[in-house]
Amino acid sequence: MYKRKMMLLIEIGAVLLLIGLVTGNATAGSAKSANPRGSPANAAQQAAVDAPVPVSVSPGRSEATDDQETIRQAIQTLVAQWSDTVLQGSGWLHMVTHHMRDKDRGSSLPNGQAIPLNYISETWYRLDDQGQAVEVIAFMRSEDGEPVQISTFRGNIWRNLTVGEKWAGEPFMPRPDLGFSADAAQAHGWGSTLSQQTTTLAGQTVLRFTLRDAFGSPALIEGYAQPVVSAERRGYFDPHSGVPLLLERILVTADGRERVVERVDQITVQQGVEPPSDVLALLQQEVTK
Amino acid sequence: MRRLKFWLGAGLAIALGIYTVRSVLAYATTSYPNFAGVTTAVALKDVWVVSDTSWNAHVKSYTTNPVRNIGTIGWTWWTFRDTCNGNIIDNWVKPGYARYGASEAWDTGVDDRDYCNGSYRGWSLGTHDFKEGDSIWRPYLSTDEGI
Repeated sequence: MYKRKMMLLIEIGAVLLLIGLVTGNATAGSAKSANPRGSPANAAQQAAVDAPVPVSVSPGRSEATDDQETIRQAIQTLVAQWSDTVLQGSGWLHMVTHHMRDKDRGSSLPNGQAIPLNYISETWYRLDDQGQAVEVIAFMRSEDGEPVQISTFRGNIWRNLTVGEKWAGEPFMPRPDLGFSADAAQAHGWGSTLSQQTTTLAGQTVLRFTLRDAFGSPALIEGYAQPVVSAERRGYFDPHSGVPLLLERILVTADGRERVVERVDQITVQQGVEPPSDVLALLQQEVTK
Repeated sequence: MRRLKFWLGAGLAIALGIYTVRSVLAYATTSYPNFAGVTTAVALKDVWVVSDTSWNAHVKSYTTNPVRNIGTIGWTWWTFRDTCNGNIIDNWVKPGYARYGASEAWDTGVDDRDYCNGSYRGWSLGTHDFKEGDSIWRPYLSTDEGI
């Protein structure tokens, strides 16, 4: 009887797995792979889509993998040391970051207003006792401090008050390290390699971690005139506290140019400070769409 | 003990099955069966992460059951964007695209992944375009994913 139940169980599991795999392959076939019989609206871009392939594995694979794992764990431990403190307990969390970007071409909001390449992101998160953001007020400001966009999250609905759009969402964990450790955790799966270096930043000894993504062939990325051959994410952290001090993204283009395409500094965090009443009032604003 | 093992195994198998099925449902489709009385028209949008550097947005209009060349197939407009905590970071607006006497049309956009300290999502949105004889179908469809 028990054996029969176990067999039934294994069969159910196998059928579910098979459904998943078949659906997965169907998805990849229809949407995610270049279809030689298809008709891409932009053939050049299609070539770019398939370009980022995993880096080839070197003969010293096991040793390299061990190193990669050591670095990955070092990043997780260091970042968790700080971010766990930041996300501890319920209440308001205030984060301000300064983003400086370098692109050949920018884009505009649906209302026609240009999206600045350089901007200041100011976000108020109200955290529940699990550290999940249940209410958010987010400003994108110009470097002069003028609001470009304001969005809110309340009652599991995101609202972009500037463009008048709303959509459903779910509570989520803020990423005080701007996603660096999450990307590092996935680096192996993406075929990116991790490295670690002690260096100085503004006279301070810091730990610099790098994720390097080498493309199989040059890829066109929207907003850049030249195809990209490799890319890096660099995070500079205080070696004692784990505070992120500077984050950079670098693209190396086919003409050999290395461009710092995004730099994020002035990462400031305040806990337990209430938003001003006029900011808090934005949570009650509704949009029509 | 046997019963406990059974239910633990059952839970694991079902959880694994649900995860496997859920993990591939990252795209959105809408379809029009018996479009113009000759085929099923399908509109598809998708978003996925390529690596730590970039993410892709995809649009596709096609016919199936049976695959059939129709008068016009494509989209009237298509946009892909990334948002950080609801604010739009990049908004790439693409022109409409049409093929005539074809069974499918598609395109894929590549955008870089910016730094974001909260909810970072990629979007593919726009209106598809299907015409055959006097029949016209123009569904709006969007999808978004954490990137």
